[in-house]
Amino acid sequence: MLRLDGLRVRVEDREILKGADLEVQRGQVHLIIGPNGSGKSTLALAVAGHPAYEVIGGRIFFEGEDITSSPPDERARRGLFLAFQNPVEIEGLNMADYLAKLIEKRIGEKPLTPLREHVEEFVMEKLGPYMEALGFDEGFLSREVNVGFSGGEKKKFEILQMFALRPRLAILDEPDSGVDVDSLNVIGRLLSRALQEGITLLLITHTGGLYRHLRVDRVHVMYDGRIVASGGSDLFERIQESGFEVVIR
Amino acid sequence: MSLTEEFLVNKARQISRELGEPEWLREIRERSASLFFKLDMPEHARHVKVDFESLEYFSPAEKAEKLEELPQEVRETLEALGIPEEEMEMLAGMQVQVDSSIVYQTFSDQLKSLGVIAMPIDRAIREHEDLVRTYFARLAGPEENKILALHYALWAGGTFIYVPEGVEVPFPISALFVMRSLPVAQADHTIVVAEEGSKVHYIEGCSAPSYIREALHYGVTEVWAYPGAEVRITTMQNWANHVINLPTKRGVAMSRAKIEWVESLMGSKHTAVRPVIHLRGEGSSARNVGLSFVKGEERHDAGVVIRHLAPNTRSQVISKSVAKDRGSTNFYGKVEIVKGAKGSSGFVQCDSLLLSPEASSETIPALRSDEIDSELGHEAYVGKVAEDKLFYLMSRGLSEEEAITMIVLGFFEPVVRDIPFEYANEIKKLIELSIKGM
Ligand SMILES: Nc1ncnc2c1ncn2[C@@H]1O[C@H](COP(=O)(O)OP(=O)(O)OP(=O)(O)O)[C@@H](O)[C@H]1O
Ligand SMILES: [Mg+2]
Repeated sequence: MLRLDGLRVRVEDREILKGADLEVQRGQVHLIIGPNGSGKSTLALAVAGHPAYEVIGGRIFFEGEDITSSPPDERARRGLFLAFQNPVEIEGLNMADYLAKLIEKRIGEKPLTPLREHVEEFVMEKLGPYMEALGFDEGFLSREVNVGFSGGEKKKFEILQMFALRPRLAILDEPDSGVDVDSLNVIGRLLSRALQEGITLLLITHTGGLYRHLRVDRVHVMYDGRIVASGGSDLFERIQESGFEVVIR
Repeated sequence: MSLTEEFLVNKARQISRELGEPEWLREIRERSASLFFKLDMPEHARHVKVDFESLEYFSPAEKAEKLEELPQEVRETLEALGIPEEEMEMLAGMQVQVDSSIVYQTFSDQLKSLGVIAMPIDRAIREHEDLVRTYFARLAGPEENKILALHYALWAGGTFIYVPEGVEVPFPISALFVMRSLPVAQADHTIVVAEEGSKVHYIEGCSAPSYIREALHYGVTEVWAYPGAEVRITTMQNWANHVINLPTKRGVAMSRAKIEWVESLMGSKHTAVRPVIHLRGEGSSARNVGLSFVKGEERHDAGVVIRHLAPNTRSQVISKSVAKDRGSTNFYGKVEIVKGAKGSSGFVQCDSLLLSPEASSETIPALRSDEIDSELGHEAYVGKVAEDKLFYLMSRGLSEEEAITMIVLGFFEPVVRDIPFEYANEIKKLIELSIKGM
C-alpha cells in the first residue's frame, strides 16, 4: 500500500531523512518508534507532501503509483491521510464549515444551504456519533479550526477528521501524546474500528498506550533518518523494556 | 500620441464642452491641465510608474436606460462582483459608470421624497450647480500634485450625494464603476455631504475586466460629515493586474460626526492610496478598515492619515492584508493628535498574512501626538507565512484555491463580521473571485 525506497529528505538545508525504507501492507497496523528528533514526523510530512520537506532522493509509492512529486491535495484524494503531531490553527475558519467541506469532498453532498444551522445539522448527521464518542458537543462546531483547542482536543479533532475523510491509509503522528486516559481508550477503540472499516494504519508513537487496542503487525525503529530495524510486536516490547540500545549499535 | 500641454488643455476643454459644463468647471479643468506639467507625483506615489502618453483619457460610453440594455460584459461584471440582478434592483440607489460615462442609473423615488440628492455628478451639476460648486475640489485641489491636476483636468463621472439635515437614508446608496475599453484612464469624482444629524451608507464597486491592458484609475472622493452625522463608505475594488490605481480620498468630520470607511481592495498592478481624514469637530470619530489582497507581481502601498484637530476625537485604523506569490502590501498608518485635542485617542492595527515565502509586507506606523492628554496605540502582526496552514488544508484534499480561500476568508473574518450581511457576502464573493482568477 505504501512503500518508501531510500527516501532522503532535506529541511531547511539539512538532510533529515537519509535513505528511509519502509513498506506497509493493506489492512495492517504498523508502528514507527524512535528517539526524539530521529525524523519520524519528517517522514510523515514528506509522505503527505509538505512543500518545505524536499525529497532529494528515493521514491514514495502509494498503491503502486509513484507519488513522490504529487501535490498534497492529490495524495489526499488518493486516500492518504495524516493526523498531525502539531495540528495547525486556522483563524476565522468555522469548524462546521470546514468539516462540511471535508465531507462534501468525500461524498459530494452539501448542506441544504450555507446557513450556519443547516451546515451544523449536516455535520451532525454525518459525524454525530464520532463527535459524541470523542467528547465534542455541538458547541464545538461554532469554534474556529484548532484555535484555542487544548492539546488533547487537537489530537481528537485529527481523529474526527479521519472519519470525515475515510482514507485508505492513515498516518497518525503521536495521536496518543497529551491525551487523558479515557480519551486514549476512546481513540484506541476508534482506531480499531477504522481498521475494521478498511483503513490501514501507520502509527508513530512513543508509548504503549494504543498498543493494547490494536493488533500490531509490524514495528519499525527510526534512528538518525533511517529505519534501522523492523520486527514483530516483540520488538516493541523489547525496546520498551531496555531502550533503543537493543537495535542501535 | 504625445502628451503636450496644448493637447491636454484642448482635451479638458473638449470634455467640458461635451458635458455642457458651466464656466467655473471649465476654468478649473484648463488651469489643472497646465498644472499637470508643473507638478510632481504625490509623495506617496513617487515610485509609481505611469505611462501617461499611452492612455485614452475620455471614452464616452453609450447610455443604457434599463438593466437589460447594459452591455453584456458590464452585466457580467456586476454579477461577478456578486451583485445579482434582483439585488441590484433592491439596492435602490444604483448607478453604473463604464469608463467615463454613466450608463445605468436608478435612484429610487424614496430618496427623492426624503430630499436626498443622489445622482451622477454631471447631472447634479446641471440640477444643483450651486450645491456642487460649494463642495467641489474643497478637500483635494489640483495644485497639490500631478495626479490631482490630471484628475481636475479630465475627470468624468462619479456620484454626488447630499443628505439633508436629520435624514437617515434607510438603505445604502451604491454605484459601480467599470473600465471596459483599452487603454483607458478613469477619473470619477464623488462627493458625499451629510448634513447635521443625518445618516448615510454609500457603497461603491470598481472593477476592470481582465482584458484591459493598461489602465489608470485616479478618482477623487470628498466626504463631509456635519455635526452628529454618520457617514459610512464601503468601497469594493477589484482591479485587473494592469490597472494602476491612484485614488485620492478625503474626509472631514465636524463635532460628534462619524466617518467610517471600509475598503476592500483586490488586485491592480500598483495601488498607492493615502486617504486623509480630518477630525475637525469635538467628539468626532473615524474608523478606517482596509482589506487588501495582492498576487503575482501586484503591489499595494496603502495607508491612511488621520488628524485629530479637536478634543475628544477618536480614530481606529484596521488594516488586514494578504500577499501571495511575489505580491507586496505595505501600509503606512499616520495618526496625528495636535496640541489642544485633549482626551483624544487613536489606534492603528495592522495584520498581514503571507501566502508564499516571496510575498512581502511592511507596516510603517507614524504616530504623533503634541497633546499630553491623549492616547495613541499601534499593534502589528506582520509576516506570518501561511505555508503550514495551506499544507494542513491541502493535506485534507482541498485544492490550493479552496485552501487559500478558506485561509484568506478566515483572516478577514474579524473585520467582515462587522459589515452588514449582504455586503459582507459581496466582499466574500469578491475575494473568492479574485482568488479564482489567480
Ligand atoms: N520545519 C523544520 N525546520 C527545521 N528543522 C526541522 C523542521 N522539521 C524538522 N526539523 C528537524 O528535523 C529533525 C527531525 O525532526 P522530526 O520532527 O522529524 O523528529 P521526530 O522523530 O518526529 O521527533 P519527536 O519524537 O520529538 O516528535 C529535528 O532535528 C528537527 O529539529
Ligand atoms: Mg515527531
